[in-house]
Amino acid sequence: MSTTNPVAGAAPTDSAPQDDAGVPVVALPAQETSGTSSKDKRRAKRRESLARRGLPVGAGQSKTTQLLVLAGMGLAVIYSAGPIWWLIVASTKGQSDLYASTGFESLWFAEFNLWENLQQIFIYDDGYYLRWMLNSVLYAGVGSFVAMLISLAAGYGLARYEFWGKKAVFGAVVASFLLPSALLTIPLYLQFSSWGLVGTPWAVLIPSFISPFSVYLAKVYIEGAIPPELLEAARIDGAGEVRIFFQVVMRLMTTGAATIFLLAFVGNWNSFFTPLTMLGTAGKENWPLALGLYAWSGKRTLAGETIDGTSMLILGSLLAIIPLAIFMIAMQRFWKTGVTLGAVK
Amino acid sequence: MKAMKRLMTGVAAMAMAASLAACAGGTNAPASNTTADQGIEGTAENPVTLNYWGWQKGTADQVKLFNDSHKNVQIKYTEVKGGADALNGLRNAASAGNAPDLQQGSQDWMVPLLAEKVITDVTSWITPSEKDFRESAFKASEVDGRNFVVPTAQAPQFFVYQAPVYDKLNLSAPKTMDEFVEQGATLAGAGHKITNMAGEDPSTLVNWAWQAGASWYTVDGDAWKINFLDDATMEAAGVTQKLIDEGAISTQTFADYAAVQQMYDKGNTATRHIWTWSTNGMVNNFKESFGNWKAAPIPEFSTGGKANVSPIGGIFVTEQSKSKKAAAEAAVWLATNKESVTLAADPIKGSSSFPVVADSDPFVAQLLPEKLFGANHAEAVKVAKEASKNIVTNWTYGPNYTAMYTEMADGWAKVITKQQKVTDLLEHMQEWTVNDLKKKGINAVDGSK
Amino acid sequence: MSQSLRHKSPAAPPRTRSPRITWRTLLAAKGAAFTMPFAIGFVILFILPIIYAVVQSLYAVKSSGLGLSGNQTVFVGLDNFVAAATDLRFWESMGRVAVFACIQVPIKLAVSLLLALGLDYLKGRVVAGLRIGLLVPYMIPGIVGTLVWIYLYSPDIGPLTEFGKFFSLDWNFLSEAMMWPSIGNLLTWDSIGFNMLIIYASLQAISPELFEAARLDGASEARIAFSIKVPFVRAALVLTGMLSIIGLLQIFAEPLLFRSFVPEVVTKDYTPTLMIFNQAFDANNYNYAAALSLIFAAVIATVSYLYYKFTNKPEA
Repeated sequence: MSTTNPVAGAAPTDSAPQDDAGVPVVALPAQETSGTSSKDKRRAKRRESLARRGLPVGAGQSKTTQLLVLAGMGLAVIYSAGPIWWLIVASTKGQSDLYASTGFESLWFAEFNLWENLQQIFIYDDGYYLRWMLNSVLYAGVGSFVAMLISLAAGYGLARYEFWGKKAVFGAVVASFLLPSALLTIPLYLQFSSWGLVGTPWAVLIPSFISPFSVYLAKVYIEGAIPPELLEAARIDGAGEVRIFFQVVMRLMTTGAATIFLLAFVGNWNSFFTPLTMLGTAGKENWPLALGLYAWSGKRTLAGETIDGTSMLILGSLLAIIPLAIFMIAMQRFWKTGVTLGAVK
Repeated sequence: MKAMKRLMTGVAAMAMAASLAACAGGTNAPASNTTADQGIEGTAENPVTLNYWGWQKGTADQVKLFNDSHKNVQIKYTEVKGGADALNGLRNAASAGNAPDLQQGSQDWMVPLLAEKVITDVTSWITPSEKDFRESAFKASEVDGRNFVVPTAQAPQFFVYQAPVYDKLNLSAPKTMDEFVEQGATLAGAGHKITNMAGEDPSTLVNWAWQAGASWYTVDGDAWKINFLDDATMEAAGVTQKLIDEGAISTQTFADYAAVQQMYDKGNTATRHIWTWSTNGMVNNFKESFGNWKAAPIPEFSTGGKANVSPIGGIFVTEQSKSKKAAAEAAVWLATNKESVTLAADPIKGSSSFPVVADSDPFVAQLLPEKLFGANHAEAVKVAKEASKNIVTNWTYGPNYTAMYTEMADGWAKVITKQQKVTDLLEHMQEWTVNDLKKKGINAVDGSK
Repeated sequence: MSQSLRHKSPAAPPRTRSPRITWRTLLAAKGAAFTMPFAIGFVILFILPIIYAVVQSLYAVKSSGLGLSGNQTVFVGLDNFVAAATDLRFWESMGRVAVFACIQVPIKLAVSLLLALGLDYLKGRVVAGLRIGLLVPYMIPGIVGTLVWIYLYSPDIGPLTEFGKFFSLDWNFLSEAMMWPSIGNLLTWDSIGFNMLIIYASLQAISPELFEAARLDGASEARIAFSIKVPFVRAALVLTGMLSIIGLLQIFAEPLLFRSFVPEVVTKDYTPTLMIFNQAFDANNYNYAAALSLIFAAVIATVSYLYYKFTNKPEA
């Protein structure tokens, strides 16, 4: 087992991918494999590589091919980001423009109605939208944070200790990837129902605390980041196991932990089946955004409503992107350095 | 935190989950009535709080009215997601032992919820007020001579159409369904659709069968007699099939409500069988067709005559309620108190729901939006009043009605997309319903043979 | 800390005898203790629900007479499984998602791979921009992505129907024939960026010397890509493929959302999970739903096993 250290800012490592007994390749991220964090060095390297490519050796790197590839990639970017353009444009329109401008017109602005839409979304459906957004932040934030702590502890236990049943626990972790969520969620729902948890935030929080995938990531990460010798040394210095975990392991695991948190956060933010099951039939006040938007999309009769549902749904969708986008941009450093651990996802 | 505590006890219980699982679905010990139930008169020393779950607009204000005028009983209202979700929400709460005292709902829930022992018999508390209710509504709240729901709303149907379209084509409101079908062809020829049938919503077929005098479920001794294939249903099916075949209908889903309303507004779809509460949605979404709409009685089938069909909406009292008498009396108050009824009937503050009080005529004019009918408003009011007096109650919702309806909705989608005939659907429903009841251990006989 | 690193003690080789035994046992117990919170949670949230599902699948709710006098839960043995085995709709839904997964997953992976190779080929400054652009869908909450595409597909307010007309294509994305391609496109859109990133990262790990040698031998870039780069990322592709298939077989949220727009196409039994969900929460038949989900789990396990068998052939 290699003891390469993928912690951000650490010394350069060799580029050998870790290969953990039957677990497929987990590639190390580019930034870390390509050298030190020193900017100059990286630049020098890039220049060098450009120069290398400029050499007459590479017959393939012709201008035309390059342009073709670039054009292909450009199309892919339009495909990826284009729908969001439509969403932005559509959310500035009033209902009548929305239905009046079809086809190509739907890709450009009509009468600018964004402020009115914005005002309406906070009163539409009794103004629940903001509440749902806060709920989503709460569920994803708290759920992922607790899951991260539990997973790190479990991953650490699995990676750096020998104990009876360890194989079984890890086997269960991997096997659980195969379990359909319906098989787990419906019986869990019945249990939670009899405990009076259904409809409360606990019904979505508790299931999010236990994430086998995060445990798997934590184990792989710790095996790479925490050399056993370090732990032995700390023990000899007289540190207790708990203290080692919090003062040694956790410190070295900042990037790993952040990555686990990030992936769990995105997963929880997108989670739909569990909230639908656990909260769908209960009061609106505990819904996350996904459920609120789903409810709006299926609204049949707007008896007494004076605001159009479609434009609310469109603006609601756009606003729902913002927290996740902010979060991802804020976590960009970890996202770039650590997310390739998600290669196993 | 309370939930957390419950969880802790739950974790302990979980150890026995496997052995307990067997009976988890079954037993809900009825809550023992520890305190004497004084009804809504109550006593000052023993104030009662009732939980009430509902979703309709205006209900919260009705509750406020009640709370302002009652000292010893107070209602705590919770808004839930409406329709089928509310039904499931109630079932879940009931199986968890925390059902509300009162639940808003509709008539088709009654027998299934009764079968599941979720709701309770309210006969003794509602009977003293029987004369305050319209007879047809009161009858609809009964199963086997006992009342299981306090009716709060009915939905008498009438027919509305875009007068300019009809005038242009020299048509007048159809008197019979045959005429309706003919008009469908005429309208289709002129680029209009006569009515909208959404793929997810077979209610048109259900209502027409009912109107023609069908009864899919009837109690026959100690068994349910199921018949989806009687003459009345066949007549309704024939009409529906002709309209579909001739391309006389639009099939816009109600999910895109704005799009449906736009079709009506533009006259693309020119007529509609409608209930009072749906006029509201039209007003809110229309732009150009105000004043163009005229009302007429629904066209008649060869059988059934002027029969008007309407399920009731109502308030259920749950089996788990600790204050059943108070709950039932509060529901009766909400359903019959003049101010409360006015509020529910209000098109803006309420949901335009049609009152079930003995004399509902005074409420009708304000129920129907003047804006929609313009100069035709007075006539529309007359039509609606008449419709409410012709409601028939020969329709029974069976114990698996809600599941049947879901099953039917799926097949209906195939009817609308012309993958199967209406009669194929009905034959399937006949077989499915009998089998489903038998599978549940309920006595069922095939009444179609 | 670096200090303690230095006097790395030679006194702690594994499996030291006698006096160490208790210390080792204690250490093992401590290690196990770290996994305890997870293990307990796992038992409550994974193991017990499965046991519960198994028990439930052997029971059924029965009524009697007119069905007005309450229900009873009775033991029915394997009745639910027998019913499920002959439930055509269930197997139809299974077939639907299986065919879908067989088509969508390879397409998605191929596109992601091409994009990663393209990114790897371009290098330089443009890469960062392209990567962000391609990752946009990953930042969009799943339900929002679905809604946006539904609107893009919608003939009422979206542009795509009109685009088709422009190229004289009369397509309707929400029709029955187009439903799976429409959902497939949505899922491809949603995941290619992320998959590309993973493959790209694997590509970065290849030592450049490998290419240099090939280039000097006069191999074309395409040749290098397919003979050196692709085999190198095979493991990542295989695993991503497997997890994608498991995810796709369970597809739920997307069809459910499409269902609220075109219920006549996406029926309540459109996918296995949709059917199980409706059995549980609409028909209130938890027992049957439990039987269905157990069968479904068995099918997924089988598929995964077969996939593993096929992709893990020792390389020649």
